[in-house]
Amino acid sequence: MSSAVVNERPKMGKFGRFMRAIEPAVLVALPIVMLICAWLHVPNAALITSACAIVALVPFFASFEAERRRARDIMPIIVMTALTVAGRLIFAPVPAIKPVTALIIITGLCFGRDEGFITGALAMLVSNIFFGQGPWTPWQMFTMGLIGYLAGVLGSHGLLKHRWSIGLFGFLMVFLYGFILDTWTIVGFVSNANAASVFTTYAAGFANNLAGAIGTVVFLIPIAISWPRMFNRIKSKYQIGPAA
Amino acid sequence: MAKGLFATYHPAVCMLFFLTAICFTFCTQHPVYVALTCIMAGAYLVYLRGVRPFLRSLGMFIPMVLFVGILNSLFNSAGATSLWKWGPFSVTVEGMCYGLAVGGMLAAILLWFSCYNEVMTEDKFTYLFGRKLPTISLMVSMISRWIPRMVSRGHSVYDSQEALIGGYDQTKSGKMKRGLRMATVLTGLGMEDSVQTADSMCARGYGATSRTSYARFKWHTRERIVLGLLIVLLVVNVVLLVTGTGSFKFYPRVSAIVPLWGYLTYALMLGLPFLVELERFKR
Repeated sequence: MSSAVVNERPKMGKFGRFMRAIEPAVLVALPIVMLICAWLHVPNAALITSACAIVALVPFFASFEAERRRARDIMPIIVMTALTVAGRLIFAPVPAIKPVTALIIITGLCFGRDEGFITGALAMLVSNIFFGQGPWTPWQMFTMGLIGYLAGVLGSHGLLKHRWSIGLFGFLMVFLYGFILDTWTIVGFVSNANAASVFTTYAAGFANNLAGAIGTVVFLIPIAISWPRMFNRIKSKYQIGPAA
Repeated sequence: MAKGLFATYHPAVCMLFFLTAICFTFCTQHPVYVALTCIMAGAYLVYLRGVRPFLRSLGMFIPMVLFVGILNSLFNSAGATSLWKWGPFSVTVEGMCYGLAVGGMLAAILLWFSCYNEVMTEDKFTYLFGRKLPTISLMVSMISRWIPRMVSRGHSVYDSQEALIGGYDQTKSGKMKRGLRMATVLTGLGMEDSVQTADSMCARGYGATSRTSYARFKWHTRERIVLGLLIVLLVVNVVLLVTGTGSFKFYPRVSAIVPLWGYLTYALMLGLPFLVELERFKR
């Protein structure tokens, strides 16, 4: 396989293309599966939903592997993930406010949806080596990946061009993250959930989410325009990404 | 290297054990099962880390465990023995027992994951999954290398920025501006550095063939014995769980706990890290 060494990316096989094709369906399906688990009062929902989240990660990692990328095409993901993890570690003493979401959004925006997903998922996997792996790891990986993926999708449609639209997107994404993780807590660990317990769980997370969302906007606004410009320069200078 | 003989076993055995322990813990809220898994996980973590670090990590879990336990006991109107009622809140004895069981279950899961973190180090994880996910596992280990590299690069960027332009603007906005500039420089520098790394990897033949790996772990007789034992215990416990040893009714009234032999097999399975220590007596 000398083609991986030279300057063009080998074509993906059938399996990889299939995996890539079902990615959007998986993103929609997983939250629905979780809600169905809640609706039907499935026993052992915590285990089942965590297993589902692991399954949902498969198409993304499988299609990524099937691409057989050149070394320099995996580098932006490594650098951005390392930066994100370092950011999460540096800001660990400060409650709620983390640069994680901001950096994942910028990655998805500049390098594309798949890079966004993989960076988000790996950032949570690696940072949990320091913060502690747990049953939440697959869901954190999935949700952070989803945020990067969405940023990539919206970016490729030209919707995230302005400082403020990117900031607003980041603000909403932190709430999406909190919402999905809180819902998973309810589905997995609260039996006979009723309006009161659901409300309490969301309310307990609200202050945290709000602080996180404001923090993300503060991190995003200054870098929203300058970093994509810097990354585009590096991308064209070193021919990173799919060969044009 | 984690303490104890069990950590020296083949990663596949360790992985299967932790998967088993965590899945079983997830699966039942039977008070005896919950108590057993809590004790075993706690004992193993104490053995791995020592008492003081164990208490420290326990302190980190307690808020989450309490939250889930209280949530389950406060808003549960399914129980028969009501203690207190106010609007949507109703506290029943059964609800509190259930909250206690779920809290204990969560605590046990967290304890098992802590043990997993001690035993299943990154190299073992890479060894297990490196063949299936060559790019991803390579990336995970490269990321772990890049985090300290980023931090040390950050220090040198900070120093040179201070030497060139620092010290003038000590206001908050000035500091933030410098922080932002530092992050930008660090990211750009990291990206350009990484391309060098990539070129170096290419020059050494990255992607030329499929990934090879140096295997430190081998299957010995002891691995086969322990794996066999684990599988037997696993099957027995699954059968017991499905046939009803692990089921327990909290509502409308808490059912009685009867002593069963099944609990012993569960304890044996979760105590596997201690069982393998018996090997020491053979010598």
